[in-house]
Amino acid sequence: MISLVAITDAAGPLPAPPLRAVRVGSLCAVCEPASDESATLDALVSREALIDGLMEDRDLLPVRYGADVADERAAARVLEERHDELLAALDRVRGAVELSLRVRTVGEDADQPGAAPSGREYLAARTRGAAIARELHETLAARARAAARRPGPELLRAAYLVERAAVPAFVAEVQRLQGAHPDLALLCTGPWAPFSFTTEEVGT
Amino acid sequence: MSAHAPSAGEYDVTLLELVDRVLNKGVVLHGDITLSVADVDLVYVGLRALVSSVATAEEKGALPRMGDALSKEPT
Repeated sequence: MISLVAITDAAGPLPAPPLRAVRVGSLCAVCEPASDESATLDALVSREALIDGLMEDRDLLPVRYGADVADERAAARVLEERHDELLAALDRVRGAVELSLRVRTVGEDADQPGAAPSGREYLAARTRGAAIARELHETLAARARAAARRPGPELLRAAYLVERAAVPAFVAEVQRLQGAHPDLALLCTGPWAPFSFTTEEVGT
Repeated sequence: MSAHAPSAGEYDVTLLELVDRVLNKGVVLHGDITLSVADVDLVYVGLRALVSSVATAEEKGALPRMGDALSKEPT
């Protein structure tokens, strides 16, 4: 069994063993030997590090962990079946990386929204929080090629697809917003491979 | 990016982001998905367990590869 790691159309040198490159048309699937172990933390961290290294000098679509196929011929069939769709997806993320943001109220545990003394105050705080989250998200989305809000217990959980060259400006904007909202904790991580932007149905 | 060393909370968030991406995002390709991650709640319970187990493993110096994840700087 081999495990699909990423899809790219970069013409660069083949990844070093044990990685293998399966090429079909202009697409290349980077594969590694599948491991028997399930998704241990080590395996996930090591997979992300692998993708991180690959994305340094090429555009790619990270493949969700666990896409194992029998052999290189089976990997090639996957590329054949979805060649145009994958190429279009690559075009959408070309030259960009993903930045992630989670915003919490300071002192609030992620799992437990702060206890409000009354229902009315709780509702008012929620409404305020929703407005601030929307404003933060819109401000940052304006600096991104695409953006995706995710449901979560935080005030805001979102991912942004940002041009590589625009990452410093994006981070500076996050820091500016953090300065403007001392009552909030803005946690921005990345740059990640464009994990959240591999399909078309990503909204803003 | 940021001058300060990541706090434990930031470190957890970074790890959570990493696990969430690798497990739950990325292009879904035809193939045998070897994981049973259908139940989202279960996955998140699992993540919490993972995060706390990392803290434990880190104390024991058992996670030599974590430097890669830590280079994702929280700001």
